[in-house]
Amino acid sequence: MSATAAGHPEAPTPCDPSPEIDDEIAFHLEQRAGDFIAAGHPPDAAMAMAREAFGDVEAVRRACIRIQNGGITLIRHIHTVVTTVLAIAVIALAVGMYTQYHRARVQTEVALAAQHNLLAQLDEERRAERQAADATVYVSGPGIARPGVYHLPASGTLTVRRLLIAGGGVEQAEAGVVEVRRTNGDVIELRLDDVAQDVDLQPGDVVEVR
Amino acid sequence: MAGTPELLRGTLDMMILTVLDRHGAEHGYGIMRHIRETSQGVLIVEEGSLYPALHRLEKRGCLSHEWRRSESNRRARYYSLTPKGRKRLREQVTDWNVVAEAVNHVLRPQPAPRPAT
Repeated sequence: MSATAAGHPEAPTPCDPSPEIDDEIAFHLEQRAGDFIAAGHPPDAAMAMAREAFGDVEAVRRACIRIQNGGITLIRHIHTVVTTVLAIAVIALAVGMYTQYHRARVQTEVALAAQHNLLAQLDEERRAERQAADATVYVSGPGIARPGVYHLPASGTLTVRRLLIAGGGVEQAEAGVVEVRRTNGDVIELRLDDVAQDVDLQPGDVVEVR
Repeated sequence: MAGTPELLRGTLDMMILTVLDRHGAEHGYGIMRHIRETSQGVLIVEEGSLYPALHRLEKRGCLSHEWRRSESNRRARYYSLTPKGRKRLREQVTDWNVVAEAVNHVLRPQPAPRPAT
């Protein structure tokens, strides 16, 4: 028991109830000793008698401190529970937001991939159309009944001789000389009266019959 | 009644609340003295039980306290009854009266049953 009348602050901190409890018990013992003195007991024995009448001072002190701290413990429990609930809520919110973000990201990637595939398909179709448009030859010359642009077949090949006889309407093929000018500048000459001479046409060729 | 019996278990709170209701703010030693004097020395408060009871009642909101100077100019912790403590006292007194009346009924001599005719 360390309680004394002096030395305690006027307003002890509420978090530590022991100074107030010590002071309260010390006051009680002093009052009791005063009564013993008033009843005729010697002053030096009065305090010992007061302590004996009080009983286990330290046990009473501990019991009072435990009761006072009960409220603080409860507040701590509430604080812990509230903090835990808030932490769980924040984690759940974060997980939910991440899940939403991840789902949105996957959906965006799928949409972008589909868009990419569609664009690639469109490019392929356009390239095929362009190639189809480019796969032409130009036929001209005095011996040609129908000069103009002729399309090459999408598959297989077309030779000069087949083009001129089947589609070009060559009237004087026997005497004709055909000149094929390639887009790279090459010039190929062949005679129509020599059936062994023929050449596969390429896109952009200019065929002139003289 | 022989000797100086301690307060019946459960009645200490009621005694404390009653003293504070009748005499106003008082410190622990004063409460103990009032109980002893009012009961003409029959009821003795066990000092080791008094202070835990005061702190428990205060924790429950039945009492409040403030530090004042006592008659001896010593700083002392004075307890006062709160509205909640006053309500609690009324409930305890009602319960006590019901129990006391029932105990008296049990203790009172019963008339002998009439013989059958």
